[in-house]
Amino acid sequence: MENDIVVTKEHLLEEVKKFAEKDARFVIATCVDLGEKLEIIYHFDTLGEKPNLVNLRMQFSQDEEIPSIASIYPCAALIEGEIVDMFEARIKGIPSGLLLAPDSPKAPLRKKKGEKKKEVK
Amino acid sequence: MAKTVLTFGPQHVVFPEPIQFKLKVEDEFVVGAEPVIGYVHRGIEKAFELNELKKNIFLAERICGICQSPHSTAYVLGVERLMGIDAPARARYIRVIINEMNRLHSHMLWFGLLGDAIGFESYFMQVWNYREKLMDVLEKITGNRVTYSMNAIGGVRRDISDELQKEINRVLDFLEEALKSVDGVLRDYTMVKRTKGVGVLTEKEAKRDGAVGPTARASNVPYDMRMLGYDAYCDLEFKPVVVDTCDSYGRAVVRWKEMFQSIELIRECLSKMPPGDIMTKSNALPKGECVIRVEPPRGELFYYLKGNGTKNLERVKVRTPTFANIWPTITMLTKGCEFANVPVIVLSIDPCISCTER
Repeated sequence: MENDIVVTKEHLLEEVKKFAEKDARFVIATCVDLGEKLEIIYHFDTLGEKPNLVNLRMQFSQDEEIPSIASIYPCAALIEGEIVDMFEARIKGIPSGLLLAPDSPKAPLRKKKGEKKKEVK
Repeated sequence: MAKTVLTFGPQHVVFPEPIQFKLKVEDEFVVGAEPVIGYVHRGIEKAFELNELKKNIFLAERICGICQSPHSTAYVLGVERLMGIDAPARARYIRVIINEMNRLHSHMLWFGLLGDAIGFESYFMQVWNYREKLMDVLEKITGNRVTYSMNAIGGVRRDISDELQKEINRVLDFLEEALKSVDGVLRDYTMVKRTKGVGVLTEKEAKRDGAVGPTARASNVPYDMRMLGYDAYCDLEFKPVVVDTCDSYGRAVVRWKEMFQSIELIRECLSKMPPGDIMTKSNALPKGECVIRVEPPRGELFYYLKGNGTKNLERVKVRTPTFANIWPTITMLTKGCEFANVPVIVLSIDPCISCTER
């Protein structure tokens, strides 16, 4: 995608702070299951004359704990809660149970082997 | 004074859908708030991955009952970009017409609900009565009153004939007059008293908390995805409506002005709409990833699509406007507002909970 910046989990908060200093809006974060690893794409809007999207990409393995950006953008707590529920990612200080009930399927958006997709006939 | 926690929702008269706010109150004033969501999560993002491309259009439309057309617009725009095709010009104009009519009826619905919430029932009935005319003409164009199913990958499903264009113009003329006849509501003593200075969200807070739609634009942030020029918006005269009162009254003013702006945009579309095909056919399969942002009545709608060259998408992420507006609402509530004003503040963002949780 356009305007991509790749970042590691060690430098994530540093980069996010740069956006906050520029008064950028936090749009949302998207988590994608890449198989071996997970990827979170943090989308920011730098609010120029027109809306302008910048993506911060971070890959990490599923057993790693990653930092939460809610200390910089408090509104990110909601989407981070969703990522914890949907992917069982470990985000520091973010509890599970925002969208899913205790008896819901675990990590429903993670790719599962042998999952049947409905093909067109 | 000891703090008391009062639960607001999940079932409350101002909420047609379930969401809960745990409000910490001191005397009559709110000093803390915590949102509790998850009552109507439907796993739609998962369903997007399991269904095939065409079925997903209908799925996208069912995320939200009121702004269904922008949802399918965002989805088909994303798939078209991944397939490397463009909808014909006429189809792009028709999409804008339907989306603007959708905005018009959604804002009218909101004004009715606002009237109902503050006890102004005759106004509620009058606005909803006018809205019926719009719903009827939408049924004539698309075949459906509510869930239009107008968008298809590569274009739209139905054309708008000359006769229908005349009818749309007639309805727009009627609505313009009808809405002007009830504009006294913005000067009404009770309405002003209940909304002015209530639910203040400053420009800085709106940016920090990621407010979208009329909530952001009432706080002097010109944040409107139509500025990106998707579909036919690039050919239209468009400037976002912005006011700087930063309160619930400002949000009502933004919506009020946007209704007339929508009427103008539909008229402009009808006059500029070129003749030609309404569908580009293609057998390409989506590959790669893209982000599409469109502007439904409630604010920025975000779609992330990732295709892998098959008939199923790898990942679809949907961020709806209300999801972005929950945090600004918490900011507004925790500034020590009166408990009696909580319904008005929550209603001022035009909450839509089912699409928030998908």
